[in-house]
Amino acid sequence: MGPRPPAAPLAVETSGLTKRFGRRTVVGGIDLAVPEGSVFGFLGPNGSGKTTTIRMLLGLARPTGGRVRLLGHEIPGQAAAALPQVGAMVEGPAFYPFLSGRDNLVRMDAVQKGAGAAGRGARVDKALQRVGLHFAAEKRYRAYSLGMRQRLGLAAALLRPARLLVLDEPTNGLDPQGMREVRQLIRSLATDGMTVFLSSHLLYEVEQVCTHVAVLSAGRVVAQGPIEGLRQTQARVLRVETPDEALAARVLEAMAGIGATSAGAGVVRADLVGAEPEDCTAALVRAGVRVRSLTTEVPSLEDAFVALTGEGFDVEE
Amino acid sequence: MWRSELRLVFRRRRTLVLLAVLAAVPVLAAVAIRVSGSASAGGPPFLADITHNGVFAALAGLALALGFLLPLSVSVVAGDAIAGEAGLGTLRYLLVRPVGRTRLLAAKFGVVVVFCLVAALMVAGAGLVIGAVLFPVGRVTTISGFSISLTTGVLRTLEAAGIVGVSMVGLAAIGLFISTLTEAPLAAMAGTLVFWIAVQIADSVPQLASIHPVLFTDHWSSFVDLLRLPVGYSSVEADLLLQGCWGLVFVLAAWARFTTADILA
Ligand SMILES: Nc1ncnc2c1ncn2[C@@H]1O[C@H](COP(=O)(O)OP(=O)(O)O)[C@@H](O)[C@H]1O
Ligand SMILES: [Mg+2]
Repeated sequence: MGPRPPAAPLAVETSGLTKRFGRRTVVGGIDLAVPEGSVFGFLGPNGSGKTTTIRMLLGLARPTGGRVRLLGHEIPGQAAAALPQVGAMVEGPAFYPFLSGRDNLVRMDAVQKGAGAAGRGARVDKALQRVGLHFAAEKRYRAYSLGMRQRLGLAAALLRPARLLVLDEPTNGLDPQGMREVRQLIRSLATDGMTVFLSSHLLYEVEQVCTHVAVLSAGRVVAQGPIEGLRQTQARVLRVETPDEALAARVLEAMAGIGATSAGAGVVRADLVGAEPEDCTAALVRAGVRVRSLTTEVPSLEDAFVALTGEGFDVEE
Repeated sequence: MWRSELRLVFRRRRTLVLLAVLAAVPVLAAVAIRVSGSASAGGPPFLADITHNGVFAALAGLALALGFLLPLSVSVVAGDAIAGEAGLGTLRYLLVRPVGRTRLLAAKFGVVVVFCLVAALMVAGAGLVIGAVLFPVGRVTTISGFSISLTTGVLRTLEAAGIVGVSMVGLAAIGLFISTLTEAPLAAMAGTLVFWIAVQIADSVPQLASIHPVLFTDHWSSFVDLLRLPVGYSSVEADLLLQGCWGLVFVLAAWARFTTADILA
């Protein structure tokens, strides 16, 4: 490779990443660029290939095609160099049901090469404290509620200082209070400089904590970039309340810089693709349209995502 | 890693139950013989000798355990090695920690081999204790008719247990390999057990005599030769060679499979 222009270093970089199961393409050639220090939302409906992608990022599954670089290391070849700097939760928590929460973390800490026994107790306690699970540390995992299991999964991901945190739907099974706490936790980790790669099928979750987003639909990335930029991919909408619907629609359609229009129930909507609202007002008034009100609507992220994926997102809470 | 694996297996209730059941084998045999007052000749080796000398309770226990419970226990522990972690989902978290796949497999296999040895010693140990409690002990009369001192007899018995443990290595490796093929630990355990049963059937069909020498069960009773005077090691050596070959082939197969498999559980 030749010299590249200086750019923000990437925590995760994939090119043409593909995974097929038999003849089914589950991940269809995706290019991700996750800047270091970002909170990167990996947003897609259920079954769109988020978990499968994450498995390939972490070297658990081999790509059918394409490449992965994780913290500058080739995956799966150099996974051993990259993974010690990564904390991860993939497809929900998984622990030994016959061990306590603390013993589960002790095991996770003990299996890692070079993790000395010396600071183990302190590391485990700190991680339990951080997710608010220290009160149930001695309980067997079997007896944990779904929310407690999720927290233990987060604790395991936070067991050691990491540069990158990969969280696959970390708020699954949490109540609204727990979800807020997880978001808070992610924000505080990001403030400390950690890169967070967060997969979710919940739009508002991504909207609330992420600085960047990639939208996945049926195994393809349909949009990617800073979250503000994505909002602007959607046209603003002009909304005119008038008793003269048909006339108003005709006038607007005749203008340059107007996209699709719709009319009904005393309201006309028109996508603004270049035209300015003030020019629309002037044109409508010149044509004798009786305007009750005229506003512009900034499309919500949800509109953007529905337009991009052709599907709705579960909206909870 | 290694210590953590040992703790994980040997602190599990299931493992402890298996060991307890194995220890019960010589105890039940000895109690039955004590209660009935005699044992008819024939049947498993050493059973009839218990009344003369309690040390034989350990050897009879080994012979009995080899019939079913020992291979069953080894199938359970070996079949669970990788499939158990996959079934729980903990495998993915071990691998991203990261634990190298080769290192994990080596630790798992090491612990299964330790279990084989502990299981066989458990049988022998329980046999020696119950034999000493229920029957007279003294100089041990070998199969060849000569007698050896009690100390030598006990040492030979423990050595025999070690050989029985090592005799399980082939089956343990087969279990490890099957364990890398599935995410369902019960399927891996059952698969290993079925494999053993199939080999045992093959080993008992006279028409298949030509392949008998290469079956991993063919020299499982070689430990008996330790109770001869002079001790005959040729069958033991053949057993060790068989276990080494089967072990190597299936550990390599497990390694080839596990280091390239997608972890989707
Ligand atoms: N082992 C597998 N074999 C075949 N298909 C799979 C396998 N794992 C996942 N899939 C399919 O791949 C698609 C994407 O799955 P997944 O990555 O789990 O999606 P997400 O995490 O976005 O919900 C799903 O349709 C799922 O059925
Ligand atoms: Mg998923």
